[in-house]
Amino acid sequence: MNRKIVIIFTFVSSIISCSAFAGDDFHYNYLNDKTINYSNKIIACDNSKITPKFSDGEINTLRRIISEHPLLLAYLSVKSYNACLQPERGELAEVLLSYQSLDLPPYTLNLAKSAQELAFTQDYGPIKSYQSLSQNDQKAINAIIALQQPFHEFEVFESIMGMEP
Amino acid sequence: MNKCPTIVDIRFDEESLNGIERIKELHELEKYGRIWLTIGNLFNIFGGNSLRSTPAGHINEAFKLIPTDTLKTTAKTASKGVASESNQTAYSITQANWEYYFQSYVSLSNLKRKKIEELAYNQALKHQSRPKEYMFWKSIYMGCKYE
Repeated sequence: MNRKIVIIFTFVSSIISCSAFAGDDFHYNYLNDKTINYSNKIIACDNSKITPKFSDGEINTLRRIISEHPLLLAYLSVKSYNACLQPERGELAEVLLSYQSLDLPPYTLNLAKSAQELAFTQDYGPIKSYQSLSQNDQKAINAIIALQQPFHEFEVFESIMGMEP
Repeated sequence: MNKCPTIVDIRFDEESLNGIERIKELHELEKYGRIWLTIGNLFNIFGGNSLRSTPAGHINEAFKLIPTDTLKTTAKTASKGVASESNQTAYSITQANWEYYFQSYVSLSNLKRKKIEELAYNQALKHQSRPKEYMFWKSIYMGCKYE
């Protein structure tokens, strides 16, 4: 209850302080446009996910590496998915970065902050996992074309590891 | 939402507990973002280019579309703050205004869902040797809610 009161008080205060900016719709709308585009691209990339067929050699390589470095598959998933999200992901990132140095109304800046944390906070564990591989294993993984586009993560993991779905 | 499995006697390790905390943070972030989204849209409607004269009554219809009580209260407070003559002045909130608002609203949910999927997948991979936790994180990924 107290929390709601604090939130409402914050809004009313922000409204008073925002009044000087009333009418400055451009930056707010531009951010919203980029966020909506990005969100739509997420749906498009979800719909483009595939379940790749691997050769026996690829399965053996993946199983050996993933047994030791399970987060590697998360790295490959994020990498292929983020590639699919371009250019919308890059455009949203550019807007969020540039807004940090602009004098904008609190509602725009706070919305930008939320969008930034929701879209761009990153777990670096998967990248570390990839970087801990030997050069040869990195080359072997990078040569698997089927993992360069968004894939159904659990189906791929379970089929590589021979697990029951 | 998919049908969620029953997982009996599950014990979470510290890694999983951190993941659950992170999901809570993402829910909070989405709520916070939606609140600023509501305020921003009200500024757009009442303080910006969308201001037009129209018969009274439309504004109340618009407020009915706002999904939660907290946001509704905020919206009404904000509209009074911006338009000091709200009792005398009526506004035209077009279908486009509200479609735009809900598109923005849904877009934050998609951003959050994507992050939760990433997190759940990472957690599942880390817990492949702990079947119950693996099943829990797979369920989260597949759409079971943790709130």
